[in-house]
Amino acid sequence: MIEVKTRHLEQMSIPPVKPVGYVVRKNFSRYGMGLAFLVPAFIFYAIFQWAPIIYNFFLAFQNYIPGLPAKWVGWANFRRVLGDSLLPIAIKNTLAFTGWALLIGFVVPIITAITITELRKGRSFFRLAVYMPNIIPAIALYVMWLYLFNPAVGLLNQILNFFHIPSSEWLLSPKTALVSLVMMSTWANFGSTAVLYMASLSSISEELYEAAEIDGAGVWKRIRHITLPALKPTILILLLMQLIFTIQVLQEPMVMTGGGPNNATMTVMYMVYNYAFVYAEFGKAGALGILLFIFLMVLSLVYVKANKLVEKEAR
Amino acid sequence: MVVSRKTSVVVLLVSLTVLLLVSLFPVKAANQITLKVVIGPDTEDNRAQNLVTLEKIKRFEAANPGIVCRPVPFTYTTRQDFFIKQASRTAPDVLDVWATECELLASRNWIIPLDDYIKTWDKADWVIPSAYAPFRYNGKIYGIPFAGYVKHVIYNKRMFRENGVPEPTLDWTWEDFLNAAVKCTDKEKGIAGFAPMTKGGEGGWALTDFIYQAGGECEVYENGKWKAVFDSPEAVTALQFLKDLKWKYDVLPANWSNGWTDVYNIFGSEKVAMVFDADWGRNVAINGQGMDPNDIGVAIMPKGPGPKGRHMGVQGGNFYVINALSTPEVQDAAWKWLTFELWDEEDIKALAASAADYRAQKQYRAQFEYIPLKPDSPYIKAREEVFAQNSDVLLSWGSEEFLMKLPETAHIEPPIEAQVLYAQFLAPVVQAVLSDKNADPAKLLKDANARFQKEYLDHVN
Repeated sequence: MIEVKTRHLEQMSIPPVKPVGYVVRKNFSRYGMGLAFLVPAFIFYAIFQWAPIIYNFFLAFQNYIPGLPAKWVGWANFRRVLGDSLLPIAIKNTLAFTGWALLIGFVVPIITAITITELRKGRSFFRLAVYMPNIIPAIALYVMWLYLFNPAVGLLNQILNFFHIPSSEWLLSPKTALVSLVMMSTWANFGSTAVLYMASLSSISEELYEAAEIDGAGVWKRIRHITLPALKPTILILLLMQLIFTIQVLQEPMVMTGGGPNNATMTVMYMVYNYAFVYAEFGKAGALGILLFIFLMVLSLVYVKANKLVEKEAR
Repeated sequence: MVVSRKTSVVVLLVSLTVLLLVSLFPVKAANQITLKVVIGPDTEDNRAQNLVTLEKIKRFEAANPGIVCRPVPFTYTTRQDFFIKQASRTAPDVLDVWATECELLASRNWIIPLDDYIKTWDKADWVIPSAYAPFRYNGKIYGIPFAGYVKHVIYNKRMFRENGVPEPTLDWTWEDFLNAAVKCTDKEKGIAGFAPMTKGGEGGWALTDFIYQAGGECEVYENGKWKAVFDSPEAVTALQFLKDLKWKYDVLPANWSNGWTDVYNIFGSEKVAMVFDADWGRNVAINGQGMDPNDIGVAIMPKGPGPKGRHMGVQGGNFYVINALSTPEVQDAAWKWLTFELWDEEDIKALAASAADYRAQKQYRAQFEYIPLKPDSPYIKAREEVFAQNSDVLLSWGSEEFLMKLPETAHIEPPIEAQVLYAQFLAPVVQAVLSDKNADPAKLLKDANARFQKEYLDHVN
């Protein structure tokens, strides 16, 4: 009893101050290894992502000539960018590309994932098949699609003609060029998104489907009441990611059309690229980059906020 | 002696710091100048040329004690590589760049004026004075021309013969050009009469040829100000002609959206009878597509219609420039490198030696080169001899009359923001008239002209 009392008193007393070295060593042994694993990623992102983003804020207000001291020019770069007659066209094209990409590219992976998951046979084959376009190197992909789009000998027009449908000009017409790029981009990228949806679908308990089947639910009811609600978090996050990704479209118009015909596929990011790396107007590139960054940031915040509200309402 | 742990750590850290500093700032011999010179990227097709450059470096270093050359793999094929190298101060001290780059480089203080060097240069008198024109800026010369071109027509002789088209003469016109294109076109076989460049900046570059032929201009300097004038009636005639080639006469390829390489691939595969070429296009057709060089003919640009019509093609080429970010001592060394063996005996020897390589590889030295030197300069004569001795692989182009007439058809590129004008303002109007049958050339040019004036030239004025 006395012993217990003493121990109790010891516990009550003020603990001795531990030396700093001891605390550091203790924390290091507990967190050190984990932090060490984070260091390369932290350095990489700091140098190649965060620092350029921060630097871009300065660049937007400077007349920067590589190799020479930059001069502060106030809002001049923003004024010139906003006065560029190409900007409204590029914004319109970018929004149109995003709209088409979401209309086609957002729904297709969901339908594909659900269809493949519902298959009784050949599931593995179709999973592999839909992912195949993702492993084609970008340049090979673009060359292949340039042949497919060729108005004279391209496969797409051959197919149309087979069904007695008039040929299309595809990339050569301002009316069809942008949609053609969306088609190509969707074909090239939908596999990776579909795989994410399939992974999400595999986490849905089989019991739910079995119970629904026992209750007499058909395929459509199972999809509507089990699959889609279960996929909702994935759908929401992928929608945001696709939105951010497609608004920054650059590669497809740059390689396939050079922004033409008649600027029909000129996008905001392509303008940023041209300002910086073709015309050496880095300040203007910075200014337009900042405007795009702010737009995407606001869009993302509104979207996240809206989804939180939706979740609260659901509760 | 026992060394404490703390001391060991300090010694280790100091050693590492010293090592780092030494590697960052290598110790140089007193008065030694390091000169960054261009060498081709280390690829298979550059290997022979790079060996030639390395040999030249050895000779240069031997002739100029105190200067050490550091080869920098570089080509000015895209501007972005240069921008990045300037930012990191790793760009070569001597560069060769396109004729359109003067305003971009000089206005940004990236290159230095060479007038003082030229005054003391023994070969200064050899150069045709007009050849400096693309690199004159604010009254000073910023570049030395070393290979030039004047754009002209290259055509498939066999296709001309088979379709009963007479060979172009020195006074041929748009009408003759159109007749040739119409007769050679065979849409059933996928053969077009003419393939213009329409994609990217090349599209605008190609339109300027037609504008100059019709008697128009792109930019003029009036009353101390730059003025955009590519909305003139002559420019409208030029764009209308291009539009008619597509919609009225249907002599262009079904896939008319072609860049520089595409056009010469089509020509090399004999799917088009005529294209415009500057210098290297036929190399793609001959060495890339295996086209027989004997099937290729050259002609000056056709004359446009009306009283202002003229034979005219864009004059361009490559220029040597000296980097303004280098120190004055390095700039002096750069001038020595720039002029070292330029147009002298060693250059001729290297040309003669290259003939054997072409034979061994079953290829041709196919490019058209317009050396910007007076015809009586010693280099031109020696070069002609080497070409005559190796005419099986070192190809010469055109008759004497053609070569005499060609310089008269030269038109320099727009001095202000040429690449912007081509890519952002002229290429879209070309694409507009080729993609829309109802496009109005006058309206398109008027709009583009006003925008270019407001967004670019007004900022220069």
